[in-house]
Amino acid sequence: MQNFFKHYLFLIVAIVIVFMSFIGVANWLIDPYWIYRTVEIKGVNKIKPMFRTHVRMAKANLVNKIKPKGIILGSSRSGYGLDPEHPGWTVSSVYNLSLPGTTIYELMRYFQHATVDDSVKEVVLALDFFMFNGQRKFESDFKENRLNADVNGNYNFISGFADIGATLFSIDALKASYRTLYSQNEENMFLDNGQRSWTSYMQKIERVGGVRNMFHKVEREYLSDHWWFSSCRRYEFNESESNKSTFRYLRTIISEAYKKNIRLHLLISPNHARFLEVIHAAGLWSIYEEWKRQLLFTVIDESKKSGKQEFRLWDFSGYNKYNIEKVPLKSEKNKNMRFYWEPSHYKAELGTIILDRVFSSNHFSNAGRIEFGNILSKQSIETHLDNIRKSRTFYQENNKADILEIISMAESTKDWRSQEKCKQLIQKGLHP
Amino acid sequence: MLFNSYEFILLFLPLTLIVFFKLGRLGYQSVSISWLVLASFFFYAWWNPAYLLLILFSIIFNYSIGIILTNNLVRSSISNRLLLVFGISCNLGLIGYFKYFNFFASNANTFLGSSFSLEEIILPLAISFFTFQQITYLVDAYQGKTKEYNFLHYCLFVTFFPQLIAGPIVHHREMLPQFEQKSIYTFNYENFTIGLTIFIIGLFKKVVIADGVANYSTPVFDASVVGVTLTFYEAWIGALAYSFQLYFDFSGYSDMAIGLARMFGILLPLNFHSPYKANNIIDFWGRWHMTLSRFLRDYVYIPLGGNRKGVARRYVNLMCTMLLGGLWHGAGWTFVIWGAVHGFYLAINHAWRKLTSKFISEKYLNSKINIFIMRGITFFAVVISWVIFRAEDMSSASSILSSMFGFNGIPLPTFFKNILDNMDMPIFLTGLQYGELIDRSYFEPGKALIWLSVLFFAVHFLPNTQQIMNRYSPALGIEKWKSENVKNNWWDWQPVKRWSVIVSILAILALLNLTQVSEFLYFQF
Repeated sequence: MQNFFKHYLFLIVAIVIVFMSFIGVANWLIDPYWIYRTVEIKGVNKIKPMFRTHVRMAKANLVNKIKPKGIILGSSRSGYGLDPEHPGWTVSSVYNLSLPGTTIYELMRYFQHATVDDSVKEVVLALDFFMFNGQRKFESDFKENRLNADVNGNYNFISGFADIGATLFSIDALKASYRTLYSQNEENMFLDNGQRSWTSYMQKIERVGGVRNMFHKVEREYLSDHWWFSSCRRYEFNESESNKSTFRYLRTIISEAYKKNIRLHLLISPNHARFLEVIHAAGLWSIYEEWKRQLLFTVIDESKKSGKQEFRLWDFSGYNKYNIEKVPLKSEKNKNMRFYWEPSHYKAELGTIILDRVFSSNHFSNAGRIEFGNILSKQSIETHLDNIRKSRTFYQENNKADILEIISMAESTKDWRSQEKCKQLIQKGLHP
Repeated sequence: MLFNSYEFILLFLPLTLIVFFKLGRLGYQSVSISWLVLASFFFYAWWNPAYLLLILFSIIFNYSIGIILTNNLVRSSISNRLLLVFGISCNLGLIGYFKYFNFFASNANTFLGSSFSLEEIILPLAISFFTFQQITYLVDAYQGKTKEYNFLHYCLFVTFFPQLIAGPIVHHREMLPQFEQKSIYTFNYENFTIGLTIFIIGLFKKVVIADGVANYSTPVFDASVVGVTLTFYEAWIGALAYSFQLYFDFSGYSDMAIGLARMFGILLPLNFHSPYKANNIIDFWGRWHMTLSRFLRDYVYIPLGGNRKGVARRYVNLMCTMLLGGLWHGAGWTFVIWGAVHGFYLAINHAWRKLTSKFISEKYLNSKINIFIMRGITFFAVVISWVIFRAEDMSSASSILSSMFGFNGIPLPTFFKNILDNMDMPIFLTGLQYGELIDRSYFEPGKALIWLSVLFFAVHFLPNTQQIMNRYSPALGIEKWKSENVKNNWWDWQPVKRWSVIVSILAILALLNLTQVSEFLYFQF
């Protein structure tokens, strides 16, 4: 009788092992998430449509493979705009580790992840206002245990195993491989160096019917959703659970950069001038200014603690010739802008100018570009904020039609920004 | 550590088994047992090492009191009684603090105006299970029903990892004698094969079925938390999907526990026996989480007086037992009310039984049509109660229930409006509502219907794991179900090729569903 059981058992073990190995090898070869970089064959698996929906997993794993010496950290703004191959980098091999819709906490964790083994020497950290909203929830594809360091910066030895099961031996991976094989006529949304390719944006603009419509779409999303109005929450620096400020994550990044002798460049992403009107209309202007003050305060404070020279904090937002570029009219469907895709995403052209400025000390300075971007300092911050306020009046006078558009958009979305009414909208099953 | 994780299946389990049998073969039986105890502690500590001390303290404390009671060391019945009360109080105090402190404090603050500060207490895993098992031991020791157990065996009785975190709630009388059998120390192909088969069936139930059907319940319950008024159809799909999710989750977990223990040659008590096939609520509680029902019956209901103190007391006792049973599931009013609902169901069931036994013929009661109706009513009642069990709070529960009962309208598809508007309508049909039946952002309605129909069929008509494994006595207590477990069925499991292929397929599907790749859907931003 024991023999029957033995045979039964061996047959199960054999079937399961053979089958699972087959699936694992197939997923490893097709590599739908672009993690293993096994073989890339044109027309078979060269295009990776599943990468963009799994950026957090894929980029975390890729960093382990590439071991870059420099990284770009930020949201999709720096993901589109900042070029890892800009000549100003002082290190070879740079990876754009920007994550879409990220938070300063995630950026800290990815900073720790990439720098734990001391190979990274230069970092550009592009900051956005929404990242510091403590009321935001995690994105679903963020996972702690795949990162090489834990929250305290200590080495996590099992990070390399975290995604093996899911990316090789899961139904999801199998579906992703299938999808990859049958989507080879699409285009890759990301370049090899982690920067986003821009063709997708051009298609998006075409779909919505021109740049101005794209502006409207994004502005409306911000006014009703992106600052977490649609969860009926307010913008706050403090996290809802711990009641502590999100700036502590930036502190950790800066202090670890000092400890590891990393050249850290901090910058506030540029926005189109219309975006500043949106911040105003959303009632967030004073907290937006406070955000800049606190950024600077954090940078200064951490430099004092370490006894080293302050890292530079650049502000590229505000009013200058790039940010006030004219938005094409509704009728100009095929007209493109030079520097902006929409109010909050700048083009790589502007990104190059930004990096020119940021790296100016070690690269070159271009006299014509001097007015773009300010290095914030304790002495100049209030004048700087005041200048922006003044320029805003000037901008409003010269762009009345744009201002009216935003006012009417703010009016039509105002229920989402009232916590009370937002709840009612959601009860009716509405989405912004 | 979860049973449905790689670290458990690929590392912990094989290592524990190999070392256990290696040591056993060399004849070091107490070392073998120690290894199993150690492994179980590790299994527990994986989740939060800090609480290892808690479970250790609990074991030593209860074992010591048990020794004193068993050997009658204090030699006075009053002191023995005091000692028992002390022991039980400490156990209840521990679970009271860790599981219920915040619940009671916040309610006291609301209703009595007190100002207890709520503390951040992390609920120690399995505390409800190991507390109950040890209270049982203390009570039996007091009543002289135990003998002195070996300390290692006692440790294993409490911590044996297959049953540690989600039951079955084992009884010392059924476990400890098994640890003394010499046969469990030698590897046995039969036990291992049967155990593995049961484990795979359980794993499949959990990761493929329960986790799969959860996609149709979670969005519905989540929406109701933020105050969305669900449509009639959404509410029913959510409630049914949750009823199946909970069933397959829990019965899958119990199967895995029974299977794992069997790999070590240990039989665990039966915990589920097709509860949705129950013909009435009394029957349901004899099939759902059976070891909890057994505990509540023997250590709450009967000590309260059971049915020996008159009809009125019987109903009061029933209600108290079910309220406690409800609270045991979680510290929240929804659980208490869920318990009350089941207490009420049971009371009606007992009263109905009395009534029908007088007025309705036995023949009709056992007729197919009556059983069909009874089973339908029972299932309906159970589904209703699960809504309360699952909902975040009572307002969400009542909102879902009112949608299910049609109080929020039962819209017809707008498609009918075009047809009906062109016809002469009888008066009573003029007030018809039309609208969207199901919000497609929750789930694909067609897929939901397929899932629900298949699972409905499965829970009502397919044999359960024990029936499939019937020939190889899969669990303790299976003998009671002889009438339902007729021999020689097409579904009887045997160690033959056909079954190894079927079980391999289940295993592969389960393994492929063990982890998910989370997607980032908001990539516009």
